[in-house]
Formats: sequence, structure tokens, C-alpha cells
Amino acid sequence: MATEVKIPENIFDSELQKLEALQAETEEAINKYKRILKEFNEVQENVEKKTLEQNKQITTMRKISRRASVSQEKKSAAAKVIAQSQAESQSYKSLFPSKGNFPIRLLIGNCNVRMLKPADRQEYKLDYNRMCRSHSFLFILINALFFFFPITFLDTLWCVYNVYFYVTITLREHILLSNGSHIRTWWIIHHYICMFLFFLIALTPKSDSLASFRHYVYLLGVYEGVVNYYQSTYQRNRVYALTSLNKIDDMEVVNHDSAPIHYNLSITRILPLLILGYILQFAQGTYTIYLYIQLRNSTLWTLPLIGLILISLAIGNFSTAIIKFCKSEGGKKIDYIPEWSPQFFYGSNVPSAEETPSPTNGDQPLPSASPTTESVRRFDKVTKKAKKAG
Amino acid sequence: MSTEIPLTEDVFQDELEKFRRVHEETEEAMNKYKRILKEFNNVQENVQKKTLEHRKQTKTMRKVIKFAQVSPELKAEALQEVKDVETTSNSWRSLFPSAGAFIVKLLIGGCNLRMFKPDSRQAYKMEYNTFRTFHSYFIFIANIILLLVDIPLLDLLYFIINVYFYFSFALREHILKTNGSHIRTWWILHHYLCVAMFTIYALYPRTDEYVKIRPYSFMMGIYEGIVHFLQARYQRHRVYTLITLRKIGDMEVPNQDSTPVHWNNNMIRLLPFLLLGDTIQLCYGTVLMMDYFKNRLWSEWQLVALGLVFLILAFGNTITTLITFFKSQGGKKVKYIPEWSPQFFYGTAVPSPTTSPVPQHGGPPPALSPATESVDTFNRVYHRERTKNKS
Repeated sequence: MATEVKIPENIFDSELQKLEALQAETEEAINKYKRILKEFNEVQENVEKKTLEQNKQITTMRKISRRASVSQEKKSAAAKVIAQSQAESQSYKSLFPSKGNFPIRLLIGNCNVRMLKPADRQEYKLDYNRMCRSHSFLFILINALFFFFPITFLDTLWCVYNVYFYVTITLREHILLSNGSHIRTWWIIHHYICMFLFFLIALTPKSDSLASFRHYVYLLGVYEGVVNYYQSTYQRNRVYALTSLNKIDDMEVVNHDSAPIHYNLSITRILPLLILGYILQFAQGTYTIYLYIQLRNSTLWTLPLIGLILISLAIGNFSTAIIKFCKSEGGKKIDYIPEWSPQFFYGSNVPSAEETPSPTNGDQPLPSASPTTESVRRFDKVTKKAKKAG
Repeated sequence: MSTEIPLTEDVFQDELEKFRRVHEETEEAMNKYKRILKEFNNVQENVQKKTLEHRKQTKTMRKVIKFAQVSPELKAEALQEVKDVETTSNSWRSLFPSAGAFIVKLLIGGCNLRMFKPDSRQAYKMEYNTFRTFHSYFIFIANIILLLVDIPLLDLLYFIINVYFYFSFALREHILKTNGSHIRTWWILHHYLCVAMFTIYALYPRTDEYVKIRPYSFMMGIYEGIVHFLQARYQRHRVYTLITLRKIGDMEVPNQDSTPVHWNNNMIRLLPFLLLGDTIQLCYGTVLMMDYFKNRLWSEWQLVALGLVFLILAFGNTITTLITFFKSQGGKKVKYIPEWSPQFFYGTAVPSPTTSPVPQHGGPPPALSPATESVDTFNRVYHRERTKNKS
């Protein structure tokens, strides 16, 4: 039998006093927080107005520069100044509230989706990566299971889950875009297409004539799942390697394009497998259309659409993968994303106009946003080897 | 033909100087902004930690009160103090970031959805109202067209668009709730049920039963569209009336429960139509269930699923509407939402049990802020007296 705890009066009094003291301290802190919040909101509004003014000034200066009767050197020097100013003005946008892109606004309205803490942005990105990774693992498992155990109701449920997954991934990518992530438009379109694809598959009535085709679909699903899983593993290893080499800060995440494909030398080994996957996808799309023509069943009207979607996905993925591979020079170049670093947010290294000498007559470039970003702009094999030797 | 006037070098240099000046000023302003942003983020984190510590202490205090060897009067007094402290502490939550409800996190992840400017919250609420009005127009017109024209693809498109609308309503209401709105959970559940309903409709193959129930569904849709439109119209008129009477500031919006039902005298006239709509839903759901068990057992699951959804919607809507009506005393009381006022965000003094005079035992709790007292409840008798005195 449990014995009842008895608390003496002196402890009761001391705890009550502690609560009262904590209440007073918290109120003080809340009042201070409210004052800072007010100041922060006012400063934010003023700075937003100032940046709008600056953008107007940039447009005016461009027009003047075009029409001015001055030497060509002065015009090109002014053009450089304008371009740098515009680049900085673009980067400032990432520090103000934003309602996000049209699809986000369509769903949740005009709510701010931009995070103003570097840790929050990082956490959001890591959460997105975790979600993609767990989905790729689940994708392999479910496709393998369904290959061996055909249950119609579960097929529909799996399609509905995939519709949800692609909706959420697309929305999260839109939010990542608003927070400074550099994701290619193709990958977002790819997710919209996948969403529509799984919706069509859910609508397709179950028929005996499709039973053997179903096995082929799940087999291909297993293959694609395995390849995607390896891609995300290499991505993660890349981040760890660069963090341990002190090439990037703990809170910094390397991202060349979106999470699914990150290029480095190791991943060039996986590139042929990716290409093979796209070829198989193309073949699957062609076979789906052929199947519809062969069966001539009007209730299976979704089949040709599914086939066309698979073909367009295969072509889009293939061309994007090749372009990115060539642009990144086989994985040697990785862009640094400054918009997630504390320096970008709080600018401790940002020189102000008083600290740096002002440029003369627009001949010299404006001071850069942060000197530290230059040093990690390129991570290449030469630097890595030199560090190892050193 | 327009002739371009060339600009001289002097003008060019002047404009370039002006451009550089604006750039420097913007850079200075950005540096200041970044410093304040850093301070704001640090202070926010510290204050959040303090409020967590505070909440732990209130929980500890509750346990201590339970087992303390003191007189019952002291215990009751201490408990009352703890409750007042908890009320104040709960109101603070609306000042910190939040990712919203589980469903929202499931969809868009842990992104902060709480707005820290009173006018942003108001603008979001207004936008939500406009969106709902637009939906009421849409379902009215779409249902008329679908009743007259029988094209399967149009039906499918209509159902998919409604899935989007109701899903969007649910998410937006979650976000409004995160930002301090007092929306009953039933209305959010109602939207999810509507999402399920339209999904079932979308997945329904074109059988004889579907063709039979189709016209009735669309006729119900027309009726719903009219009722929603009238609700939204009365809501808007209510806001304008109260702003004109200066009962509330320009940026303040009264909200009794969620937007669909805002109670006033005109709204009471709409109550029978609302209840009639719920009754029609109840009958429709019953007929679908009976049809399934009599004619389509084990063959068309969509019938029984739709029937069930309609029955749940009918019961839920009726009960919630009646509860809201009686609680608001037929529309005389309108709750004020402090979490949207500038006083709540920037208010200099936060009255609490320790810093403000302790209320008499059994007396009314202290008001949040002196400015809000006059608009705490909208009382028709009080309003009449005030306008009499003014004139």
C-alpha cells in the first residue's frame, strides 16, 4: 500500500514564495520581451521600406545609366555598382517575413513562412532530409511486401499515402525556397507530377488483366527505392565529411540543388544506376500505354495518362541529372548557401559604411556582405589534398 | 516618335551619389536590423526558458498543495493563486513561435506559424473571411451548373476542388487558433469530415446508385451555399457596425466561436435555416444508410461511408450550433479576443496576482489591460445607454 506523502508547512511556504518570485521575474522578462518585440517590428517595417526605396533607386539608376551621355567606362563601372547593390538587396529579402510561393498561399493563406533564426532553418532542413530518408526506406519495404502479397485495398491505401507524402514534400520545399534553399524548379514540378501520378493510380480500377503488370511496377519500385536510399546516404556522408574538415560550420548544411541528388566523387559511381532507373521508368511508361491499346478497356482510361507521366518523368529526371553532373564538374564544385548561417542573420562581420572606405566614383566594387563566405565558396579536390598533406 | 533627352554628366554623377547614399543608408539600417534581430532572438529564447521554468514551478506547486500539511483555507487560497498564475502564463504562449497543431506539422513541418504583429493576425483573419465568402459563391454556382449538366469529369473536378477548399479551411483555422483565435474543435473536425466526404465522392464509380443520389447532393449543395453566404454577410456587417460604433478599434475583430457563426439579432433569424440544413443532412444520411443495407450490401461501400459522414455532420453541427446560441445568450454577448490587440503584444503592464491588487475572495478576476475593459463584452443594454448619453 502506497504511503501518502506529507509536506510540512515550511516547504509549502518556501515553494509558494519561489513561485511568486518566479512570477515576478517572468513578468519582467515578458515586459522586456514585449518592448523588444515592438522595437523589432518597427525597425523591420522601416528597413523593409528602405529596401523598397533602394530597389526603386536601382531601377531609376539603370534608366539614367542607359540615357546618360558619359563615357562607356563610367557606364560599365556604374553598372557593376548597380549589379552588386542589387545582389545585396536580393539577399536582404531572406531576412524579412514572406508569405511563400503561390501553392503555399493557396493552401494556408498569407501566413509568414520565413524563419528568422538560423537554428530554426537548419532544423527545418534536417527534418525535411529525415523525412525523405525514412520515406525512401519505407518505399523499399512496402514495394517488396506488395510484390509478394497482392492486397487491393492496401494498394489504394499506399497510393493515398504517397499522394500525402508528395503534397507535404512539395509544400516543405516551397517553404525551404522561401528560407533561402536553392532547389531546382524541376524537382518541385517532379513532386507535383508524382502526386498526380499516385492519384491516377488510386483511381485506376483493379482488373485481372493488370495483375502481372502490377508485379513489374512493384519490382521497379524496389529498385528505385534502393537507388534513392543510397543517394541520401551519400548526401549525409558529404555533410559529415565537410563538417569534420571544418570546411563548414556545425550549423551549416551543404546543399547542391535539392536533397535527392548531391554530387560528389562517390556518387558518380551511382550515376549509372540512376540512369538505368530512368531508362526503366521510360520503358514502364511505354509499356503502360501499349497495355491500354492492347486491352481496349474504356474503364482503364487512366492508363495512357499514367504512361505519359512516367515517360515525361523519365526524360525530365535524366536531363536534369546529366546537366547537374556536368555543371558541378563531376561533383567538385559545391555552392555554399549563406542564407542559413548565423553570419548572414546577425552579420558580425558585416562592415558598415563608416568602417570601410567608400568607393570612389563607382570605380571600385562595394564591400562584400561577409568575408567568411568567400573562403568556403569552393570545395575542390586540390584544397582537400593540400589539407591532408598539411 | 518619342525622343529621348540625353542626360548630362552632372546629372549622372548626382544620381550616382544619391544612389550610393541610399545604399549606405540601407546598409546601416540592415546592420541595425541584424543587431536587433540577434537581440530579439536571444531574448525570445531566454524568456521561453523562463516561462518553461515558471510552468514547471506551477505544476510542482499543485502537487505541494495536494500533500501539504496546512489548513484547507490556505490550500484553497494557494490553489486560486496558482490558477490565476496559470491563466496569465497561458496567455503568454501566444507571443512565442509555434509550429501549430499536429496536422499542420504533418503537412508543412515545424515551421513557425505564429505572427508577431497584431495587424498581420488581423489581415490573416480578414483574408480567411474573404476566402470563405468566395467558397460560398463557388459552391452555389457550381452546384447549379452540375445539376443542369451531367459530365462525369466535371463532377470529379468539383469534388477535388472541394477537397482542396475544406482542407485549406482546416489548415487556416489551425493557424488562426495558433494565433489566438477561439475556434471550437468541432468546426475544424467538420472540415476534415467534409474532406473525407468529397474524397469518397471522388472515388465513387459511376453506378446506378451514384446517378440516383447525384441530383440530391447538388441540391443540398445549393442550399448550403446560400446559407454560408448569408452567414458570412452577417459576420461582415457585424464587424462594420462595431467599428462604426467605436466599440472596437479599426484593427479589432470580434469573434464568437469560429467565423461561420457570429451571433447577433439578424443571425438569430438565420438559425432556423441552419437547423433546417442540418435536418436535411440527417435525412439524407439516413436514406443513404438504408439504401445500402437494403439494396447494396457489401457492394458499394461508398454509400454507407457517405451516409455515416452525413449523420455525424448533422449531429455535430446541430449540437454545436445550439450550444453556441445558448452560451452567447441569443447573440448578446460577444467575446473579445485580446491576442489580436496591440496592447497584448506591446502592453507595458501585465497585471497578475503578484503585481496587481489581489482580488477579494470570490471576486472577479483582474482585467488583462485597462483599455480592453470597455470592450470585454458587447452588451446591448450597455451599448444603448452609451449611445443615449452620447446623443
